[in-house]
Amino acid sequence: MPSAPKNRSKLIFLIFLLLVVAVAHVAIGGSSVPSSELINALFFKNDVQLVWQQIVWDLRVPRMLTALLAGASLSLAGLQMQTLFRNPLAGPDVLGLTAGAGLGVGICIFLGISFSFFIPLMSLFAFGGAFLVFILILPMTRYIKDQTALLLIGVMISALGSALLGILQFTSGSDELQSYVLWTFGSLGSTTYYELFILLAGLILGIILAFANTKNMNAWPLGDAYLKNLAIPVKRARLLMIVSASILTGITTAYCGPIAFVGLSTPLLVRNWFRDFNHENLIVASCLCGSIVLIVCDLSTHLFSAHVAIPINVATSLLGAPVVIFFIVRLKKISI
Amino acid sequence: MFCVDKLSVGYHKEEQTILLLNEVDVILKPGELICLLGSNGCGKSTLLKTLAGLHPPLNGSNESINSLHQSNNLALVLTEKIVSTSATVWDLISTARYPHLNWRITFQEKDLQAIQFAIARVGLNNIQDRFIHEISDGQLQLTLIARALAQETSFIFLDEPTAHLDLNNRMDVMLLLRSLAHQFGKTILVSTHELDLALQLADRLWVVYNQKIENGLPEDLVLSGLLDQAFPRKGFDLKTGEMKYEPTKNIHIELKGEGYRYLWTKNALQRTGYTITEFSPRFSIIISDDKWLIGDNSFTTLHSILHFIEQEIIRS
Repeated sequence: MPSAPKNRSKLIFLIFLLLVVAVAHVAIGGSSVPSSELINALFFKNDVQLVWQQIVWDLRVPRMLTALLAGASLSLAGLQMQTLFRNPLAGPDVLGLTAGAGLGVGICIFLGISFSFFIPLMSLFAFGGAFLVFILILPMTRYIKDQTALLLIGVMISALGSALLGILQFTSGSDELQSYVLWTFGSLGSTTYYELFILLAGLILGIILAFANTKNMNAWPLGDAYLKNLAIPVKRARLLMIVSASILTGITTAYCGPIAFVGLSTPLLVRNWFRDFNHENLIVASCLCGSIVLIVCDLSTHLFSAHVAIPINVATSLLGAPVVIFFIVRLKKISI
Repeated sequence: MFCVDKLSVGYHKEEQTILLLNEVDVILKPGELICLLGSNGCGKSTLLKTLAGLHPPLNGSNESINSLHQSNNLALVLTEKIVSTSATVWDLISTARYPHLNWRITFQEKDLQAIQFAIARVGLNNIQDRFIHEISDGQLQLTLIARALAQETSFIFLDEPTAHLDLNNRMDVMLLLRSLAHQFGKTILVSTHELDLALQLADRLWVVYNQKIENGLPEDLVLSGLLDQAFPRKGFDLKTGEMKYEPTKNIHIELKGEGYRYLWTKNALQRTGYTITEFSPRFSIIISDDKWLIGDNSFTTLHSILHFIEQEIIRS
């Protein structure tokens, strides 16, 4: 029978868990806000010291929402890339989009384009870099019919981007180098509400494209010959997956830096937990799970030290790698 | 009915054109199980894919192929591997209904009925909720056939559906295909290497030979000697039923007896390289109902006879 109903309870559990970790994220932070003040600041706004108000509304809530949106975006991008390439190794960065974004940021920093007070400018460059790679990849998808070949081209583009970055790094001063390294650590705390809106718009667009493509993604494991026989528009479906993943990865990387791991591991865990053929459920579950994972990772950045939060990229790998290794060892293999 | 005239099949490889089938005429009638035979690389798969509209024919586009491809009246069972650890047997079969579904994949009553009918007809009720990577090769092949059946098409093309299956599963698959053709009037075209199964079960054979397709009843193709020509190294002569063995030992053996015991004794001797003659002063085997006699020696198995003869030859 159709597998949809059997996983509904899992989805409800994920929604509940997301609410819990979201509240926990706002409640726990670098400075301890008294719980009464926290509730006041969140819901009643009056009668609260300005400093609590600022901590909650200007720092923690946007940070939590950034983690929520970025986690969902990266996870959904990863899900689509794994489906497209029929390969569990595929993640949102496989097409070289992250490398493109990194190159954009590198150019921005190393060429001394005044970044210090222009965080948005850096984001713009990151998005520009990712978009450029996307424009480069797009015509190739028309001629290269083999998914694995496309995957390899993505890896090559990443290598090319790293090489160009290497030149920039080698010839630049220590200040610029530090700024760039800081960007590669990822950041969830520097987003404004305006930028949150763009992240949200990107996520919604990505989700709409993914949902429109559900039927095609479900049939995708059958391979091109069966797809053609079933009147599935193979080229259009492929384009939709690439466009959706590019938007999701590009925008997230632009605002939060190259956040590793979430996009690769979350959809894998979702697939192996849900064992659901229908992408409709996988899309929702991946978004929810991605949000939860990134929020938890961000929460953990405070746990290592009372005074300094470790970079988010360190946390995702530090927490994510053992979890994925554990799952692979337990399942003996992992596949899509 | 589906006809294509003067179809050339092949592919282009680095400026070169590889011609596999040269201007062949094909005709497919309803209710027939057709087995497509031919050696490896002769173009069986390419022909199937060309007829299915998945591969361009060499001589331009072909209207009847295009119309078959676009009419959603053709279902396929191919050798392509399906990579999914989250698809159940039911899920895989349900993809057959995708041409009729909207983007949200809402199965209508009609779709569910078609899926359930296919599952019941192929006999997959017990495993319909199992994951496809957990079932056996034979069950997976049956699942793919059920998928093709659920597509409710007049034509089903199958590319080597019996490869990697054991003898019983091969027979099951072919019997199922034949009954689908006869029961529902479907046209079923199967490429296969199973000459024996094809001879037993096919309504019609297509034999790819010398870039042409020889088309006919299995028996006609046997009698015309075409199958013996197309498969010269199969080890036996189809027309006469004779096994072909090269006499490797210059030893002549006289054999007296009748019935199937005679036939299998002869087979064992010839396979080992001996020649059977009318008269031999050296070895003369007499076959009785439960034993073999050479002179005064009596034997109960062919193995012991062969051993005896070997020892005699060494002794002299």
